[in-house]
Amino acid sequence: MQILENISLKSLNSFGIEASARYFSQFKTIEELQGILNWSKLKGLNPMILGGGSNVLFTKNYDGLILKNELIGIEKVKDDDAFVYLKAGGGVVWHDFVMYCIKNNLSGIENLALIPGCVGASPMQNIGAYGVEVKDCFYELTAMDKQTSCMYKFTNSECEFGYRESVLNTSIKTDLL
Amino acid sequence: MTIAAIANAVMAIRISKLPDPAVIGNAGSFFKNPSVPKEQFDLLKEKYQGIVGYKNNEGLVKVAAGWMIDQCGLKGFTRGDAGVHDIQALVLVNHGKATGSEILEISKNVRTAVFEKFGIEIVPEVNII
Repeated sequence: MQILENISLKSLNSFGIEASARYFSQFKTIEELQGILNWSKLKGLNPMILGGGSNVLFTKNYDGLILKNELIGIEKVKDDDAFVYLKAGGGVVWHDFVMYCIKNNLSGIENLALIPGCVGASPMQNIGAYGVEVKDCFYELTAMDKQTSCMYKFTNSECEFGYRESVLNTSIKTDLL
Repeated sequence: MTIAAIANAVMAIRISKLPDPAVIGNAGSFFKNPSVPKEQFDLLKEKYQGIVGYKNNEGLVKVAAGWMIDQCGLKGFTRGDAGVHDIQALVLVNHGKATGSEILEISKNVRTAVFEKFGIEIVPEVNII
């Protein structure tokens, strides 16, 4: 676990806005994330998660902890007659995930090619384009509570997807199934 | 049509309409497309025949915010380095050294203009910190 101080966020937001984070850290594993959250809790900080930084506008410096999700990896969990179930880390670049599906001849999210951001953010606002939304192909996700480090699963219906909306605007995502 | 061909078509459209953040700072669609009751949409349609809307399930019509912003004459509008994209008006852009507050200010101008002309409130899709 490495905590950096006073880090510029300019290269981490697609608007290219100059702003800084009081503290900054990134995690590649769930254990690493738990360690950082424990530290953050001791300091009394409010952590904010950052994925691709492509849906955020910084209007001031962030006087807290910015966490960059670097959970990567895509794996096949199971398949049945109708579907193939994939699990992807929240830090996987969304477009890379789309291309992975296309390469493996799995249809469903091809209309969502080139949407900026990461897999972890995709259900947060139920990304969509050209008549398709994440909710159409989404099975479930695993999220972590920022305060308690407890992990929770959310099924498709539990996410309460709407137009650019879901129930998930307070939890930290860890990975997606 | 293969899924790869569909993805390629989608990518070509996106590249032609949306600015590349590596070239010009932006966060994709800045505003959500608002939904209005069908009656309200029909009244607007009488006044603005070109208005673009898609019916939802719940008797609402999702109106293209980009079209309304364009009708307000704001497509390509800039103040300092902050502005509205000149091809896709739903996207706000940083032409170089805009601050977050300057972009936010533009977003407020856009919201006010749309509300005054169409009586519809549009809200940001982007998270403002």
